[in-house]
Amino acid sequence: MKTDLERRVISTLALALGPDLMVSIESARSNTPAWDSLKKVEIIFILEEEFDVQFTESELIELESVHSIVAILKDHGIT
Amino acid sequence: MALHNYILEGLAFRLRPVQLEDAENIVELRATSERTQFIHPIPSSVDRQVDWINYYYTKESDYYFIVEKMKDFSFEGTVALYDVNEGHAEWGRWVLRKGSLAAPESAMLIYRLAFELMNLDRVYCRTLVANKSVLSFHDRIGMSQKQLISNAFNIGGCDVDAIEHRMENADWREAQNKLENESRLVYRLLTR
Repeated sequence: MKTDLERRVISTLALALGPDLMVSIESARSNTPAWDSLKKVEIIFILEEEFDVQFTESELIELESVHSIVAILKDHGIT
Repeated sequence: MALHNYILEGLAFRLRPVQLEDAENIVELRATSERTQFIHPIPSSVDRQVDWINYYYTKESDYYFIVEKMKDFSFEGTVALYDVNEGHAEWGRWVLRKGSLAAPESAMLIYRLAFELMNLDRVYCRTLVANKSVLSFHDRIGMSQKQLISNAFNIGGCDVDAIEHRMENADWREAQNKLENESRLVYRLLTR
């Protein structure tokens, strides 16, 4: 059962990656071709705006999957 | 000789010539890259990588770079422009650290080298068909000319197909705008 946070991250990514893509809890850059290097930058800004956070440089490197995004947002106190 | 002294500086990243001292970083990068299945394997020995760099120095028309962060010149990856001949060249050896944000700017700097400093007519790159996110990158910056190259590479003993993307000098301005915009966004992220 997905948490509210997981659902929000998934829906945010779905908006960023487009309607033709099915984003799931297992989605990651490694298995999602559309989540390329250009899209990653866009996603970072979208996430920061959506969740009102500012990622550190080391966190930026880790924003590679739904799981890692959720974990990092939790570190920022987002539930 | 392939020794060159091109240094191309962007906002957050730069390209500088490869040196023998880079061998260890290169070996680690290519061994730990999440895209190892999409790139030619290299010997895991640093000594053999040093030998390869020395061999590279004997090659003509080959410009191999280290990608570094501007702020502290830390190692970020590699990229190269090679087979420069009659106004054309190929670029590749493009491997970046996991999670790196250097892709837009490192690509931009290689194109800048090719089209602005060398005034080449055309640049192409070949990407394994299975390396879909890199293919997506090339598609999205406007490399609209592309073709399938069957059995383009032999990776791990298997012949694999590749997509060859091409960019003409006349198309560079539009792609440059996209890459510069992305590079500026990355710079904002890394310098706030």
